[in-house]
This record gives sequence, structure tokens and C-alpha cells, in this order.
Amino acid sequence: MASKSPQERLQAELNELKKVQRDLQNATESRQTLDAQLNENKLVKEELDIVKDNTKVYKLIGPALVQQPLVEARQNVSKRIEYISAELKRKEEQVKDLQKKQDGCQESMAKLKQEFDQLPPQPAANA
Amino acid sequence: MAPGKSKATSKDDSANSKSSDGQVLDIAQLPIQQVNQLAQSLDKELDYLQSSMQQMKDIQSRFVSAKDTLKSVNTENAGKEIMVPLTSSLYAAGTLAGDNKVLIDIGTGYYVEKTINEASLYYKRKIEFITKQMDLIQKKLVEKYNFKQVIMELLQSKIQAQTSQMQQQKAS
Repeated sequence: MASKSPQERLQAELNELKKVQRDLQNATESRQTLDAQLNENKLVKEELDIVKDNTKVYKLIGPALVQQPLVEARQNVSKRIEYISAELKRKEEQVKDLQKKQDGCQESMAKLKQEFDQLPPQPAANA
Repeated sequence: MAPGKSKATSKDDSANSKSSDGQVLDIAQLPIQQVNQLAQSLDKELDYLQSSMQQMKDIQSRFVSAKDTLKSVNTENAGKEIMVPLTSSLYAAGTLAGDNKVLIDIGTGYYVEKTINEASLYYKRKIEFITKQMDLIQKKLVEKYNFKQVIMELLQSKIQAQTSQMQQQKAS
């Protein structure tokens, strides 16, 4: 058997798994935020697209409402949707990668555990 | 413990060979740990759906109250005095201009000027949209909840099976 004891290897694998799971959670959360932002922007775009062309549109900048030409507002929102979509795609790939990593970790954990279980029972470790 | 474990894995192998034609059978063949994991992830999903539902309800009631408020700023009330809230505790006297126009926050910091009639239609649309989404979530909630129920029953029976197996081992 390897120089490290099964306990140590199991511990190392567990640490790795925990790290991957943390990363995965972070990535999932930011993907959710992006998704929400994308949805909000889409709703805004929808709304801007159906209003009459002479409608006054204001943008909230800090505490002030600043009037903005409708065309410009439409362009801005479209651009933002593009940007967020790209970002979302990137995050989704990241999540997928991390999920794969997690699966790999869990698999090797399971293997180690089996090895561990098949070891002859040792005298209590904390003796 | 070891013989019990190896039995579980051999069962799992036979399930894997079957899983190609039917996934439904699969769940019952999973080892306890994985069933437990499934139950936990279902719990998370249920939590998430429930909080989404709550948010939807809040937003819906906000739209409804905004729509109701529109009724009181109609042209008939033009020139009437109102107290305008500057902060949550500070008010200033003002008069309703009654120009039949309102500004609506349509999200991401954009505000659009609309007539009261248009605004009312806007809110009607939004309320309908939210209600539709709520229906969808409700359906999902019920679905997930039923699934969880099934999983929990399965988990229970599996745990029972394992404990009785262990007792038998102890006895022999």
C-alpha cells in the first residue's frame, strides 16, 4: 500500500471534495444571479420595444433620473443582454466542469472508502 | 458490516445493467447513501421553489397595490392637495398636477413615462405574467413534493431492511 495511510488519503480526498463543492456552490450562485439579471433585462427590453417611439424614457443614475432617448435605451439594454448572455454561457461551462470534478472526487472517495472498509479492524485509533 | 456493503454494491451492478432500458426502476436499486443524497438535493430544490413562490407573491401584491394607487391619481383629482412622502417619515404638501402621466420603473433603472391608462394596462400585464409564473412554480412544487415523498418512503424501507439485516448478522 502507498506510503500514506488510508486515513490520510481519505482525508485528503475529502478536503479536495469539499473545496470543489464550495467552488461549485459559488459558481452556481453567480450563475443564478446572472440568470436573474438576464431575465430582468429581457423584460425591460420587451417593455421598451412595445412603447410608442415618442415615449420619454429616464435612466436612474445614482439618485437622479436622467432622460435618455428611447433608441439609446433600447441599444443599451440589447448590448447588456448580449454581454450577460456571454457571461452566463461562460459560467454554465464552469459549473459543468466543476460538476464533473465533483463526480470524479466522489468516485475516488467511494473507492477509498471501500478499501478502508476492507481493512482488518484496527485497535481504536485514538488509543 | 463488510459483507452487507458488498451485497449492496453487487445489487447496484445488476441495476446498472438494467438502467439502459428503464430509469424508473433505478431509484429503488440505489444504495441508501445515494437515496439520502437525492432526498437532500430535493429538499434544497423545494426550499428554493418555496422562496421563489414567496417572492412572486410579494411582487404580485406590489403590482396590485400600484395598480390600485393609479385609480386615485386620475384627472378628476387634479389640483387636489396631497402629502408627498419625501422619506418614510417626512412629508411635504403638494398638489396633484393631473396631467394624466406617471413614470413607471420597468427594471434595471429604466423609467418609462406612461398615461394612467397605459400604466394600468402595464400592471395588468405584469400581474398576469407573475400569476402565470406562479402557476408554473406551484406545479413544480407539487411534483417535487410528491417525488420527495416517494424517496422518503424508499429511504425508510431501506433503512429498515438494513437494520434488520444487521440484527440478523449479530444473532448469527
